[in-house]
Amino acid sequence: MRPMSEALRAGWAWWRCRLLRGPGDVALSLAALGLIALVAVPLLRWTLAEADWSVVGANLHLFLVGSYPAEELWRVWIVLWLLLGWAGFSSAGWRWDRDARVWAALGALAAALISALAEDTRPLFCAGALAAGHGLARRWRPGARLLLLLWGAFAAITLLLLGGIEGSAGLPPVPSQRWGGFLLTALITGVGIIVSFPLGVALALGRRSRLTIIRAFSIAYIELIRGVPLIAVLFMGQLLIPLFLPPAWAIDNLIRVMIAVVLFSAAYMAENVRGGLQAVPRGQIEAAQALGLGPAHTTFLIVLPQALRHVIPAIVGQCIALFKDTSLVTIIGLVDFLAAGQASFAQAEFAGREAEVYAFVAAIYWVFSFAFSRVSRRLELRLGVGER
Amino acid sequence: MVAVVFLVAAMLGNMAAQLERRGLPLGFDFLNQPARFTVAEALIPYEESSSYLRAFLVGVVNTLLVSALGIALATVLGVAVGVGRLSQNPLVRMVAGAYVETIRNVPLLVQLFVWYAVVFLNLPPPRESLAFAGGIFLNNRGVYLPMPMLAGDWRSWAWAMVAIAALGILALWRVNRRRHREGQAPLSMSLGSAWIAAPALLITLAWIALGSGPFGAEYPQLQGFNFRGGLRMTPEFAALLAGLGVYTAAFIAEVVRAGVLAVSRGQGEAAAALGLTRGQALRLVVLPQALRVIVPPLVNQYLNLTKNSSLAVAIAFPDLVAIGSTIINQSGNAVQMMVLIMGSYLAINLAISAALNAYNRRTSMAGQ
Repeated sequence: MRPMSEALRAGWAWWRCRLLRGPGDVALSLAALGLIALVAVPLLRWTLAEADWSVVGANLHLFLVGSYPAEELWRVWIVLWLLLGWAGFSSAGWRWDRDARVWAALGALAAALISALAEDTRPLFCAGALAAGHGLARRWRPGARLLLLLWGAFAAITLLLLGGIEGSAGLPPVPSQRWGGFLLTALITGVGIIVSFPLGVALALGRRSRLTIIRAFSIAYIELIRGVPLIAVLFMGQLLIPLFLPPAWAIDNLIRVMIAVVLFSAAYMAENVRGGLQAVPRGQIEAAQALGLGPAHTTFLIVLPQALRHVIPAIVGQCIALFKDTSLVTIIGLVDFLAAGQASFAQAEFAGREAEVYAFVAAIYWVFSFAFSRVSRRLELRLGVGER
Repeated sequence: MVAVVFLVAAMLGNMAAQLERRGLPLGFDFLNQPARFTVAEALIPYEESSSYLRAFLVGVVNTLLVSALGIALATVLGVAVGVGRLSQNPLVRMVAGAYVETIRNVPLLVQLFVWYAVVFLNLPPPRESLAFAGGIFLNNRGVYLPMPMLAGDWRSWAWAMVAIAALGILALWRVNRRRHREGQAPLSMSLGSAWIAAPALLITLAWIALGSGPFGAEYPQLQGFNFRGGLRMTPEFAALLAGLGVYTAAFIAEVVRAGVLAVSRGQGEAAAALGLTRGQALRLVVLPQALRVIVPPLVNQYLNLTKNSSLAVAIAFPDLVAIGSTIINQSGNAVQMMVLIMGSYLAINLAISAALNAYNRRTSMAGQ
């Protein structure tokens, strides 16, 4: 932090002018210092000296993948490497400024550290996959259509690898009840974001439609879903979806949850996209019509790209919120990252270790949410939101 | 279009067929059947033989209570932290910034569990309660506060207040009539109520000083293993209130900060050029304009808090979702109860939005 180095170099004058300008200021500074001492010092002391972190180390499998069978873990590793490789491949246009270099170095360091601590070479392959993907992207410069195709293939491969095939020897089926921990959280977040985004765009467009029934349905859906809490939508998904379908179709609990999450998130996405649609000047639509473009082409080629650029921050904010909201599936019995934590201190030898477990869970959630929000700020800068 | 209609019809048909097979009619009569389960905290009278409807109403009242108190707490804390983030003092800015960044990035459910399992259930037993001045006790059975009551000569005091109000209104009316006759503008509402409130306050203070004050309190007393008397907040309620308040306060802080930053710097500079102190500039120039930007997202945060109170089901506080799901488990009428639950939340949301939109219109009409 630059101001800190300034403070070290400057002297008493700097501190006095900023912190001790008057009696009120002195009181505030003292109060702030007191608060820091009261909260941060005991917290640090507890983290480093008194806490017993063995509950986290011993249950790492539970935290990361729930009750996924240990001998099939290689499949999860392959999915992770593929994910990182694909992500690297999609980052062809990523600007390598100082921030990006710092993050890349930190990531490589973290992977090396984890490898050394766990005495396992597999985390190193994660960094390798990301780097390889990015390197390939710089040489081939893939287009948007190729990327979409590849991500679709990734989704299919993931489902196949995680779920397995009935009766096969190399890929025995792993029922979705055994998918848990951070794997489940990431899965629900990913599926939620990917499926709710086009649904949200469709709803936002439907809200502006001239057909009354579509408009009425869109408005009713959005206002209804936004007015109720996520837990109510999750209960609705669990209890009502089996009622809506013929009893012969036994729907997986996980799929019911995913449907509920997608339906919930789509309503919020629709409101964000609506804001962007309203920001596109009418002149654009009129110019498109003057050029002879039909309504479908106008929407998809002219209006939507501009609208989506305006609402990138809001959409990424919605993605972060979705990531945090997946913790609610704990309440309906799915074993996500949070529930895995609760299961870990429910074991007899770790009874009473709630504080350590919750601190770890909170820290991991914080790291990912904070990282996403930084990525969103970079994305904003790159797409020039706010300019033009 | 036809396909969608056909799909919806098929789904509804399936639902009706399955419900019929399970013997569950689609009416709301089941609500009159006895509930036969206990509810841990009820603000309205409730026994096991009360109807399902009554049980659900207990849940609604609990939700409203926790939401109202949560909104109050979150607003006070959020405004303080938001103003702190804009402070010129870098220490205060850092502390406020750390608070907001930490709380916003951790899921609410995790925070609720931390408040419940790590804070409130780890408090000492009643005999070793943490005691604070004024008769406040914290222990693992809950938070005990003195219950404010009317005591002593309160009836005479109440009559005195009524008399003052009546005399004051009469006097104001005559004053305004005279001013209207002389062509002056009538006395403003705030000045008029100040004229009534001042003597009322003086008389109240005199009453309290003379000893038989109208306000009293029932203090919690340790008797045996437990406290009796006073106001008791269960650990579940306290954890939910603390978690919701602290979480929403972080978001409100950001809303307040965005609102104040949205007022152009020129306004602040013009106020300084006119010789207003920083405090005066904030209160008279910046804040009224900032309120215009703050109120709509603030309403959103209040609605979020109300919806987030549904997480009470995870820490065993009987709010409306918790009781609703118990009723679903016991009676099997999932569809009707979901309709009731969603309807209740929509009604609460409408009420809060309507109330605050009226306030929004008042703050935004000025000059915009």
